[in-house]
Amino acid sequence: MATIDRDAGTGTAIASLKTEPAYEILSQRQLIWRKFKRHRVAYICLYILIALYIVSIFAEFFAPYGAFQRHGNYLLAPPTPIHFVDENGVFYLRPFVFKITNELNMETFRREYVEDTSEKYFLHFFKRGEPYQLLGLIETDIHFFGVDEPGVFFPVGTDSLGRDLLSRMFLGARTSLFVGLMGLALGFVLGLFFGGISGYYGGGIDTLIQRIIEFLQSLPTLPLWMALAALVPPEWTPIQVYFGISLVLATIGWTGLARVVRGKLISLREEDYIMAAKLSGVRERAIITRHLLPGFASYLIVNITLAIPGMILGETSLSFLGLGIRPPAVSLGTLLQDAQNVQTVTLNPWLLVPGGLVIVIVIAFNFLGDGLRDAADPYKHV
Amino acid sequence: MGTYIVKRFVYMIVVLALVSVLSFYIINLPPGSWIENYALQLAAEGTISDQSELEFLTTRYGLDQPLHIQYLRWIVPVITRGDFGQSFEWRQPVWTLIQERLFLTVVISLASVIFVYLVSIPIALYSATHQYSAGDYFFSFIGLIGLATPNFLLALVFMVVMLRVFGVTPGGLFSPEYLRAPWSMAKFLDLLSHLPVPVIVVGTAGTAGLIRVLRSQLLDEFQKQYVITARAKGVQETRLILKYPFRMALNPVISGIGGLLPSIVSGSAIVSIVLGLPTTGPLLLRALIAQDTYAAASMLMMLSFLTVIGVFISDMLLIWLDPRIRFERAN
Amino acid sequence: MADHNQLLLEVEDLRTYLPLEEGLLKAVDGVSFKLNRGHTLGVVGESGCGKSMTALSIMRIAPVYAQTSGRVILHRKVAPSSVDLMMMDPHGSEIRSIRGGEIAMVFQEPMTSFSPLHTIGNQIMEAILLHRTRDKKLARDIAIDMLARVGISNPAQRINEYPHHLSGGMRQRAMIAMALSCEPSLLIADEPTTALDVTVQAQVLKLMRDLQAEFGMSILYITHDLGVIARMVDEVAVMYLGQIVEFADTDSLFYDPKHPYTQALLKSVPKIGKKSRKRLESIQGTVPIPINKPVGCGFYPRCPVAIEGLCNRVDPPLVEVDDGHKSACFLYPEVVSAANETMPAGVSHEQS
Repeated sequence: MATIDRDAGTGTAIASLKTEPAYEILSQRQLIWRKFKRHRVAYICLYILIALYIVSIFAEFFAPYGAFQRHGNYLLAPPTPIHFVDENGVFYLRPFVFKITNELNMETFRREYVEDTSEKYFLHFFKRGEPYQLLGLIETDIHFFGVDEPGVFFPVGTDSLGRDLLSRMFLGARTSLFVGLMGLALGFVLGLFFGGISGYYGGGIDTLIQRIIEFLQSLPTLPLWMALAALVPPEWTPIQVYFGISLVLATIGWTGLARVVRGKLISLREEDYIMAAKLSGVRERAIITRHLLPGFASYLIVNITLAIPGMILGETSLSFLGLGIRPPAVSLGTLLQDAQNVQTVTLNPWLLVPGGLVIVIVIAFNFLGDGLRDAADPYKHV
Repeated sequence: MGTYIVKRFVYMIVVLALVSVLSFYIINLPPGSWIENYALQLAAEGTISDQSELEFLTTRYGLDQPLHIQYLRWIVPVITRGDFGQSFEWRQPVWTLIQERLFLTVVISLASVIFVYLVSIPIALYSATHQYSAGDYFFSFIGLIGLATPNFLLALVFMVVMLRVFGVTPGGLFSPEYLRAPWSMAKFLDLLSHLPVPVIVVGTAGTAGLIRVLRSQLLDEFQKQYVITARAKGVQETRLILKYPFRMALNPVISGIGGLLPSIVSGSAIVSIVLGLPTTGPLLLRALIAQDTYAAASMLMMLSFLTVIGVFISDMLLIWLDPRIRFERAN
Repeated sequence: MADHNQLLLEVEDLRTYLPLEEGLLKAVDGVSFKLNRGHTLGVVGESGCGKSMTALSIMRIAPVYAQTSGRVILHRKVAPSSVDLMMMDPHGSEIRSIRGGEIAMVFQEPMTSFSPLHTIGNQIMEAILLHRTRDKKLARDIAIDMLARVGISNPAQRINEYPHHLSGGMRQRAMIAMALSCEPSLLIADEPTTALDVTVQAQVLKLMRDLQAEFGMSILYITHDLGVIARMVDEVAVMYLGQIVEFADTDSLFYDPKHPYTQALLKSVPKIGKKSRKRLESIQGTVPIPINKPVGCGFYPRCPVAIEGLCNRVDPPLVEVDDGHKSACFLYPEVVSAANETMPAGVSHEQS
C-alpha cells in the first residue's frame, strides 16, 4: 500500500511503498514432513527402519550363509575378526579374514578358536554361495558378501549347531518385524472399529465397549498371551503359526488402540469446527470423512507407530518361551532361546546380539513415533 | 461418596467372576485334553495305557461333562471352600501346589511396584528441574534402553553380568537351607535379601516408563499459571515445586498403578521363568503346556485377581488424593 | 495516608530478551517509568506487546532463560530505603521477601491461578505466613478478615473450600484478598477482569479502587481494555513491541493522543450510538512478534503516517512533547531533536 504524506517540518512530499513479504502455501502433509525432518533423531530412525525392513525382505541375499546351513567344524564360534593389515604389516584394500582353527588351550584345557595367520581369505561382494529363493520366487545363489572357500566369516559368530548367527538374525528379523506388523494390522482393524463406534455413537454402546476394554486391560498381558498362544495347534504350518501368533497379539493389543481412537473422536466431536460444520448443514458422512478424519489420521499414525514395539516385544517374549514361533521357523525370539542357558551365554556372549537388534528396533520405532507426534501436532511450533 | 465405593466394589466382583469364566474357557479351548496328552506321553515312554484306567481318570476328573458343568464343578468349591481342585499333572490339590508360589508372586509384585515408585519419582523430579542437563540426558538414555529391552533379555544380561563380574549364579529366592523349611522370620529375611535382583529386573521397564510420563507431566505443570502465582507470592523454589506441580503431576501417576500392576505381574512371570524362581510364572507355563486345566485356570485366575484388585486399590487411592474427583463423585 | 508525591518505583531501561530457536525475542525493550505512592499507572497494549513480561521482570520471575537488564528501584519505608531489584538474586531470600510482601500480583485467570488441590485458605495463608506472621491462628484470622473485606460472604466457611467451588468473580476476589493480605505498597494487576462478566468486572474494579484508598497502595494496572483504563488509572503507558510509545495522564491520552498507534487504538473502539452504517475501524496488519526486530520504530509497517527513511532507520526515543506527556513518534520535533543528539550522522526529514 502506498501513501503520500506531507512532512510537518519541511513540507516535502514523501512516498512510501510497503511491500508484502513473499510466502508460499504448503499442504498439511508437506508441513508435517518438514517439521519431521527437523527432528533429526526421528529422521535417522526412519531410515534405519527402512533399511532394516529392506534387509529383512531380502534376508537371504544379505546374509553370507543360509540360515539353516550348518558348519560342523565351527560350533559356537566367536565373531570372526576382519583385517586390512596382515601379519607382515602389509595393507590390503580388500578386507580379509584369517583361517580359523579349533585348538585345545593348554592352560585352560578348553577348546578355543584361534586365527591361523598363515592363510588369508578375501571378502568378496556378490559372491556365490548357498542357493535360495529370492522373495520365494527366484532361484539364485548370489549373496551380498562372503569369503572364498574354505575360509569362513561369521560376523556375529555361530550358534550351538554351527549356524551363522547373522544370517539367522536377518531371517529372524523378517519374522519378528512382519509378525509385529500383522498383529498390529489386525489389532488396528479391531481397535478402529470398536473405538470408532464407541466414540462416535456414545451412550450405551460406548459404555459397554468401555467396560470390555477396561476389563481386558486389567488382566496381566503375558499370562493371557501364554494361554492364548498355547491354543495354536502344534500341527500348523509355520505360515499358519505366524498368523495365529499375530492374532493372539492383536487380541489383547486392540484395546489400547480402541481407547485412543475413542478418546480422540470424543474430543474432536466436541471441537467447535465440527459444530460449525453441522450448523452449515454438512451431511454426517461428510462430517466424518472431511472434517473428523484428517485431524485424526495423523494422531492415529503416531499411535500405531508407538504400538509396534509392544507387538514385537510380545512376539519375542512368546517365542523365547517356546509358545510363539516354533522351530524350525526363525524369529529373534527363538534365536534368544539358545541364550537361555546362563553358562552357555557367559562363555559365548555373542548369542545375545539378536537381543541387541530387538532393542535397536524398539528404540527406533519409539523415536520415530515421538518425531511423528511432534511433527503432526499443529499447535507445536518447532 | 460411599455409594461410589460400593459401586466400584460390586463392579470388581463382577469382573473377577468374568475373569474366572474367561480363564477356564481359554484353558479348555485347545483341542485334545489332558487325558490325551497323558496317553501320548505314556506312549512316548513306551507304556501302553490301560483303556479302563483312562476311562476311570476321565470320569474321575469329569472330563466327559459339557464345559459349563466342568466350570461349575471347578468354581463352586473355590467359592465355598477355597478348594481349587486337583492338579492332574502333579496329583496334588492345586492350592497346595500354588499357595507358596502365589505368595511369592505377590511379594515380588508388591516389591517391584514400590521399587518403581521409589526410583522413578526422584529421578523424574531431577530430570524435570534440570532439563537439558547432562544428568537429564543420561537418565533419558538409560530409561530408553530400559523400556526397549524385553524383560527376559534384561534378566539374562543380569545373570550373565553377575556370573562374569561376581562369579555368582543368581537365581532362586532362597538360600538352599531355607528352600523347604517352614516359614519363619529368618526365612522371610532370607527372602528379602534375595529380592533385589528379580525386583530390579522386573521393575526396570516400569521405572523407565514412569520416569518418562512423570517427567513430561511435570514439565507441563511447570508452565501452568498457578506455579507463577506461587512464585509471585515469594514461595521458595523447591518448596513451590513439591507443593504444587509435583502434587498435580502425581495424580495421573498414582492412578497409573492400575496400568502398572498388570505389566509387573506379567513381567514377573517371564522373569521368574528365566531366573528359575519358585513363583507362579514357571508353573503356569508347564501347566499350560500340559493342559492341566484346574491348575492352569486357577493360576491364570489368581494372577488376574491380583491385578484387578490392585486396580481397585489404585482407584481408591486416586479418590483420596484428588479432591476434585472426591467431590464430583459425592454429587 | 499515602504521600502522593513520594516515589515508590523507578524502572530504568528495563530489558528482557528471550533467546529462542527462531532468534532473539525482545519482549521488553527499554521500558522506563516512575510510579508514585498511591497512584495508579495503566499499561495498555495488544496481546504480545510485552506488558505482562514487564510485570514479571519487575518481580524477577521472568523465564529462567531470559536475559534481563536495567534497573528497578523500589523505595521503601524500612531500611534500606531504596533497593535495586535487578541486583538481587532471583531465587534469593531478599527478593522473595519483597515478592508477595511489598509487591503483590494478581493475575488474569483466577481458575488456573489457584492450585486446585489446595484450599483457598491454605493458599492465602501461605502468603501471610511468609510475610506477616508465623502464627497459624493469627494468619487464619487475617485471611478470614481479608475475605470479608473483598466482599465474600461467609468467609469462615469459604476459607476451607477449594477453588472450583467458587464462581469466577468470587475467585478473583479471593485472589485479590490473597494479594492484599500482606498489605503491599504496590499491587500489579495483570488483566484481572478480562475473564469476568461485565457486571462482575465493574464490582471488582470498584473493590480495587476502594481497597487502594484504604491501604494507600499503588497499582500497576495492565490491560488491553481502554474502557477500564479510562475509569481506573491516573496515568497511562501505551506499549507496542516491548516499548512504551506514549505516556500521559488519562485525560490527556484520551483527548489528545500523541502517537499514531494510540490514535488508531482509540479509533478502533466501537462506539455505542454511532451510525451502524460505518465500517468498524481497525489497524491494518497484525501484531508482529518481536523476534529479530529490525531497527527503527516498531509500528512502522502498520503506521498510516510513517515517514520512510526516518521511521524505519532510527529508533524513536520516548521524549516529553507536552506537559507530562511523552511520545515516541518522529512527527514531533522534540523526538527528532532527542534522536539527533544520540546520532552523530544527524537525522532529517529528507529521504536518505
